[in-house]
Amino acid sequence: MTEFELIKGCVNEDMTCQRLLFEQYAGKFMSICLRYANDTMQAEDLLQEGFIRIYKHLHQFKFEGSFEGWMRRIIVNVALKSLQKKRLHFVEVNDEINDAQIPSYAYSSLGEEELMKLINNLPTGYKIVFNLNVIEGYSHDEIADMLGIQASTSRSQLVKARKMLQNQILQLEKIAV
Amino acid sequence: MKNEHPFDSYFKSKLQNHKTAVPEGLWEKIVAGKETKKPPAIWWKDNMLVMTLLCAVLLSVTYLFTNKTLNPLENIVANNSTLQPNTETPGNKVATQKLATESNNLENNIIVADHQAQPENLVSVNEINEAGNENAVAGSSLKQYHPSSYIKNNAFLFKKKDGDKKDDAANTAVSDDAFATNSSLIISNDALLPLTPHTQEKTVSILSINLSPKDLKALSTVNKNILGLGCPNGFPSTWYIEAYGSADINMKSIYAKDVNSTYINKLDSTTRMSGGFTFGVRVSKSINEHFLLKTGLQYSQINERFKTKTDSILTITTVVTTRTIVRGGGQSDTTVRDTSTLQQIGYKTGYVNNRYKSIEIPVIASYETGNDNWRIALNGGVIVNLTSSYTGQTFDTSYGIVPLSAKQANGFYKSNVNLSLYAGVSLLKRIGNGLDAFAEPYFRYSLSNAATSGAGYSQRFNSAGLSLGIRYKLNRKSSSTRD
Repeated sequence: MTEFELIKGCVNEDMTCQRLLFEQYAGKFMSICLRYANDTMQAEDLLQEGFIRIYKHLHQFKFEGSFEGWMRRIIVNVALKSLQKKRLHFVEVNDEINDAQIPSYAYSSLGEEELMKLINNLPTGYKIVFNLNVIEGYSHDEIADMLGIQASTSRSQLVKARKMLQNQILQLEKIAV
Repeated sequence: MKNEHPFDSYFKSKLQNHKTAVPEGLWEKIVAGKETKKPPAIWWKDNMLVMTLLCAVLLSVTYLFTNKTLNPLENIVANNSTLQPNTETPGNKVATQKLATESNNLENNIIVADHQAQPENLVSVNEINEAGNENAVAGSSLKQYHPSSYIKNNAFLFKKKDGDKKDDAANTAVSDDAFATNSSLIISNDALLPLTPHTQEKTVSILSINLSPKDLKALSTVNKNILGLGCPNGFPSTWYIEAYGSADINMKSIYAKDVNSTYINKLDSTTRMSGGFTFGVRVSKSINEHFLLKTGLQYSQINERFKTKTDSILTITTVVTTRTIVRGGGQSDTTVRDTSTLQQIGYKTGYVNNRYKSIEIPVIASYETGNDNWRIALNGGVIVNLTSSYTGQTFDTSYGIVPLSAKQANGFYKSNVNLSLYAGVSLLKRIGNGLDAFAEPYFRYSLSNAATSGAGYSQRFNSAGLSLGIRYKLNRKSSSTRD
């Protein structure tokens, strides 16, 4: 079944197509939800809500651009909406913060699960900005619009998130040694 | 294009297409969630239907009652306007001519003359005996009166005797004496109908009236208004003030809009309605004998018990064990104390009372009927919310406990929840002069969602309750309804 047929089937409320779509993308989207949520239960709720929205708004997909990208945006938006209800606080920091890099060998051995854990250890504001910018590829201006913050705040949050991740990786190295 | 950080690139390459195991049963939940999620548009349509029905009912009731009141005595022969020469018919020619010449008397003395009084507020006419052509006009015209609930099955009796003191008789036509001494209302037909030269003594008996002593007393007190003499606009308005309070049972309906059903289920299961109350003051104005409009100001409060559960509560218990070592041979005993700690990780359950407070304006139409001691009223209308505030706690979608507040950004509930429909039945009992006690079971249905759009769900509170209160008549001296 082609992607076009799959989408058309979902729009026509074909349960087989909808199930197929779910099985094809649920794993990836669960990973996204886990990066934004505080725990597995919340991630599950986000994924459920995200798929319901995807099915509901699928008829609006214009077949312009990536279908997966379109769905990812919905999942991310659901996650953001859920997190924004927690009254996120984005603290302004000095833009000239030390952004020294750690050597790549320090983290090159880390697997996906470890990276996920590191991200989830970040404060919520850092985590959201890091996910949006680094993993999803949104610019700081786009993040600013999505979260209702300044672009400079987004930048500073990213720098701090990166720094905190690096510190965590260094701590892991020390423990390993 | 942004210059990617190597550190970031590593994270992106590893996580962008990363897959994680999906919990079992999630597909079934999605299917169930799709089916149970009700589009808000349907609710809006439902509300529109309810609103349309309510408007239709109110308009019908209003029309029904106001239509009766829009039937003044336009065609009554005793009214000066209908006694103009241009309204003459062959049968009443003589009468109208004479009346035209005695218009001053008519204006002052005829019971229903010169007033656009509403029939039901006056007196009823069951029969009219015509006596002569001169009186036929009056008789036929007076038949247009409608029965009244106050003086039912009665009729006027108009007598003509030659030599009666025309002015005196006319002037005392509705005097207290007449009511007090005789259940027939005697009026010189000079006042109502003129004599013709050939009429010597003739009982015209246009109308007869038989009143109960109670009705007569009422009439004697307020005769001018009842007879339309003091009320150029028809029915005399009666004003009441009502004070009331009620104990309420509240019902909450909640459904998901932008959040998942698991969250809604948890929110629903951790809260329990614990009753509420309403108190307020209303002013009522009678539109006609049965129909009243009420408005005022009231305060209502809905109480809810919210169960909180705090996870990962660490309890540390210190245990001190004392042992005594007994030594023989005259040596002293040795006491040994071991201290250990016991750590328990569990959860703590607590309760918070959530309060939903509102200040509102009730706008109610009421149909009331009954006797002097007992009356029953059907009430229906809307309750307009002026402002609402909330105290307490709730869950957010991450199951963190957050305060309820409509005033803060991202609050869960609106500061104004618009309209509710109201329906109730009142039972009123006379307890004093102009004072009634009433009990009013009622139900109110909220038309609006109390939750903000950011809350992600829709929540309405419907209430049922029993109002108890008192009603005091403000203009007892001048009204025609119950005193």
